[in-house]
Amino acid sequence: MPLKNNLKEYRARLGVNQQEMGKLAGVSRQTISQIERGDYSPSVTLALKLAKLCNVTVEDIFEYEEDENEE
Amino acid sequence: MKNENQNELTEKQRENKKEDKKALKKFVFFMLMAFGIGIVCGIGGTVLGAAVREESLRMAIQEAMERAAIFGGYIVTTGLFLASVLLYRKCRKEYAAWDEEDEDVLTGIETKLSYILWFSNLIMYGSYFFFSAGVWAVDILEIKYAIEQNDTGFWIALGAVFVNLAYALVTACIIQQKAVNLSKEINPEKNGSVYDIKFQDKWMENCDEAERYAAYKCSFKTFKVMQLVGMVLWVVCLIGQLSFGTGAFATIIVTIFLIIQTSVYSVQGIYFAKHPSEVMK
Repeated sequence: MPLKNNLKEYRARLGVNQQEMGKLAGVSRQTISQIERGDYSPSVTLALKLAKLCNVTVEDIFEYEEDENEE
Repeated sequence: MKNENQNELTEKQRENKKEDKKALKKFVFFMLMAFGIGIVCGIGGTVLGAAVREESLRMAIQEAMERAAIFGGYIVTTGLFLASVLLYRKCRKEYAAWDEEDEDVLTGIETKLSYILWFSNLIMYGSYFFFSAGVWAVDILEIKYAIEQNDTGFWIALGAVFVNLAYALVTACIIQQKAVNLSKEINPEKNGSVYDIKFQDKWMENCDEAERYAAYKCSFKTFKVMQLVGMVLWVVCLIGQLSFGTGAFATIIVTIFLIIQTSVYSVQGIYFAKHPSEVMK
């Protein structure tokens, strides 16, 4: 997956667990867990929601790195 | 600009031709293989059909089917029920001991709950099979004869078939209810009762984008597999029709199933092409 993220770090700054983060973002705890592990790439809407909750930009949370194999 | 587009189109057409040519060889090979298997099955079916038409062999098969249909249902239902109970108790124990930190524990619990729901569906659909097989084996069309002859054995066997159906359906409901309720405790945003006719729709409404994406991928895989299974079933029913005199009914039902499946998929695809905003809802 070419999308790296720092969601766990920002969630820790907010002082909420995955369940609470999910409730705030309107998704399940499972989805927050999958995003943090890099197992799931959120939609644009969800990424923007998460960024707004953490009071940062989307680019602060998510980093897009080109896959070496694609080059 | 127009010339550039035309060149691109021609290039794409050439690419398509090349791709089709490459895949065609494999396709022809598989068609020939399927033809060969069909011939073998047809000959085998005819030989077996002739053997089964022997009265003594047919009676033996019917008797074996009767026992399997009546007892098999209870064995399968009880086995799957016990497995589900063991898994459910494990889930409860793990959830009670969960420290609200380790996500792998919840993932493990949810995986076990998925198995439980699978078992409950196996019990339910298995009960349909055993009921049909049981009713056939008991030979329900002989009911008039059984009344005249006061055949107790017939009534006991028939009763066992109906009781098995009820036992399986009640068991499946209980298992599903327990598993779904635990899932709702783990995921409080989820709503819906298993006894609600619209439970599947309500549950889907509560699912977020990741859960829906997983559900859609499962559905597509199911669609692809059922296309193949449908074709195999059609062949099996055709062999039954030609070799064992089972009639055209089964073949017709299978083809109806295939037609409905492909039509629903196609109609939905056409609808989404016309209303793209509906896809994300």
